[in-house]
Amino acid sequence: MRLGQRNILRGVSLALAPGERMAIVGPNGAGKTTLLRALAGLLRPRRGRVTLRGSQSPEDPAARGGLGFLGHRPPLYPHLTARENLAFAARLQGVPDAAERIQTALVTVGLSADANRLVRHFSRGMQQRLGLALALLPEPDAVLLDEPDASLDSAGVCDLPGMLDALAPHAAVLFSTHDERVAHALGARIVRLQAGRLTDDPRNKPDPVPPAARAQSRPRPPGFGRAVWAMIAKDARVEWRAREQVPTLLMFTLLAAVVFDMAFIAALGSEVAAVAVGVLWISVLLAATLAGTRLFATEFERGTLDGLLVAPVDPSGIYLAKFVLLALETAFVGVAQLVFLSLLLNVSLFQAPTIGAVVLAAAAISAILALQSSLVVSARAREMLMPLLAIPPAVPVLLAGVGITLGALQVTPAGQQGAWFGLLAVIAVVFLALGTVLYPHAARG
Amino acid sequence: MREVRTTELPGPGRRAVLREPATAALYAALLLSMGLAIFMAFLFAPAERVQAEVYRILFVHVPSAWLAFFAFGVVALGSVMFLIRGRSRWDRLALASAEIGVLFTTLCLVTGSIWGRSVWGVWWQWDPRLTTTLIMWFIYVSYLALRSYIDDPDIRQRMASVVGIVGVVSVPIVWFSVEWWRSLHPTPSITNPGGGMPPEMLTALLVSVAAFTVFYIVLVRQRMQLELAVAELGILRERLHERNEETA
Repeated sequence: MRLGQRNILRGVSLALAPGERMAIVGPNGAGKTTLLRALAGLLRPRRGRVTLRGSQSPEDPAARGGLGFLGHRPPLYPHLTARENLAFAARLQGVPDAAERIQTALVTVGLSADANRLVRHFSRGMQQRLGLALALLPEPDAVLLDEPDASLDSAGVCDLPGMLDALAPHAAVLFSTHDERVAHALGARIVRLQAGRLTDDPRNKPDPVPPAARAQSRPRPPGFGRAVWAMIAKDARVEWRAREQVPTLLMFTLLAAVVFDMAFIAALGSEVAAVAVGVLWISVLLAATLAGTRLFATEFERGTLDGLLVAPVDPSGIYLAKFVLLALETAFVGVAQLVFLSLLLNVSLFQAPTIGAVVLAAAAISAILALQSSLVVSARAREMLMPLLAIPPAVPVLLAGVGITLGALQVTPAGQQGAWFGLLAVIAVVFLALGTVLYPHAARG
Repeated sequence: MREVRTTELPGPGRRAVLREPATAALYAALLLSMGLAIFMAFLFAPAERVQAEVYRILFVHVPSAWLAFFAFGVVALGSVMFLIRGRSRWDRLALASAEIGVLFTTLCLVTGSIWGRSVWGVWWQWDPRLTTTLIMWFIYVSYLALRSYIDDPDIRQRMASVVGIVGVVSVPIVWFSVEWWRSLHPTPSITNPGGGMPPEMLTALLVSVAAFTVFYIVLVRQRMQLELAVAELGILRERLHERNEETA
């Protein structure tokens, strides 16, 4: 398997039976994380294949239903509580009797007293415990843990076998560690990974853990619509708590109204309606670009994008949820700008056709930008790249919006408004279809 | 340290480029067709009644536009095939075609601007055909920018493929812009049977289009070979690095 120009893994082959535990030990850069990410379906091997339950690929959402994964960073939303983070994961995984299972998981990892605290107040060790609870929540068949002992205090390391025994007793567990004592404590077979090759440790004493009966019925992954709704609701709750996007976008929109109005009125004098229309659409496009740049980047930086991609959900659902979020934000600031400009320039912009145009244009722009946002997450200087990538395909939206608004203000004859609305709808549908089909290709490394 | 032999590498080997029969045939076809196209553009095609000699820029402008469309179509094809098959050569085709497509779009815009100055009296008009062409140029420049901003080759290839597919939406918009909106720009002269172009001019234009197409094929081939050489160099460097590590 290659990462960049380097061959990271060569001829690696391993199989785990239910109840078996295996520790991968190796120096930094040996390929432990790459191997675990490939097994979780987050990286595509150039050659070879990964199968779960004997035949299913981890790229198949249904197969990921039996998979628990914890990477280097626990996939946690800092503005949700521990219980809310687990509840969101339970909804995506379709965990039965979720409330009861969440409580059991919280007690097992020692966080029941902190269940209703925001994760941003957690120490790194507490976050790791919560990450373990997330990975083990659906009582998975296969568990992949990248250095599960990282950041845990000595008590946490001692608790690790108990957590696995209690929450995933029958699971095949593969984990990486630098500390062989952890491997011994978990009763795991040790394999060494060096320069991309696996070798068995000669001191291994096979001691397979017999599979235990499942403590709960198997999770049933939610339908596509329910999963998308769960992600939208999560994003809305995070934004409500964090207030990172909407207030800033509102201030930006007001600032754009004031600054552009001053500049253009000085230049154009009496052409107030034309100024208002131009300022409206430029500020909508810029606000959407600003918000769009953060859309996937925030999930990527927190490590929560991995959590979404490992969940048993079609990745198209992630694109659609982000599209809805961006469309709502863009429509909101667009309508707010209609109010600002109506007041500042004394023009009657706040009317049905212009509101309709703003809402439909927000959908069209967001369909374009949500896809572009997913493409720039791995890029250098993504804030610089995003406008370059996003604005050219959004120009027809701008033209249609300007056409509708000028018609509404009777600067131009209103006859062509139907055609402009049609163009906006076509752009929204075409890019939504493209984004839904193409995002899964952009999602995995 | 053991010498790394280039014969261990995939790819075309070290034969001199011009000794390859296909390359030699392509260069010969390019020389012949370009020579013929220049002859026909300047000596065979008659002067135009209104524009006199200025119109001869058509023999560069129209083939450039045609090749821009063709090149971006090839970008989409290479991108789709890369996402389906996962073979790097499809991505190399898309990259080579995108670079050359941007080059020909630039040539098309520049020659159009010079022609417009002579015919319309201005360097630029906010005409639908001109505007949509400029936006198409921006889309493919951003495709190239995205490639240069992503370091990991695998991620770069996949992300660029997505943009390569999305970007091709602009091609029919540019093509049909003269029919969808009122435009100063004339409708296509080759595909339009009532275009009114004299047969000598039309023949010269078709020869010019053919010559530019051969030029495109030569450039794409060269660019793909260059990109392959860059990839091979990366593999060589990595092998050297691995051997050094093993020796150490």
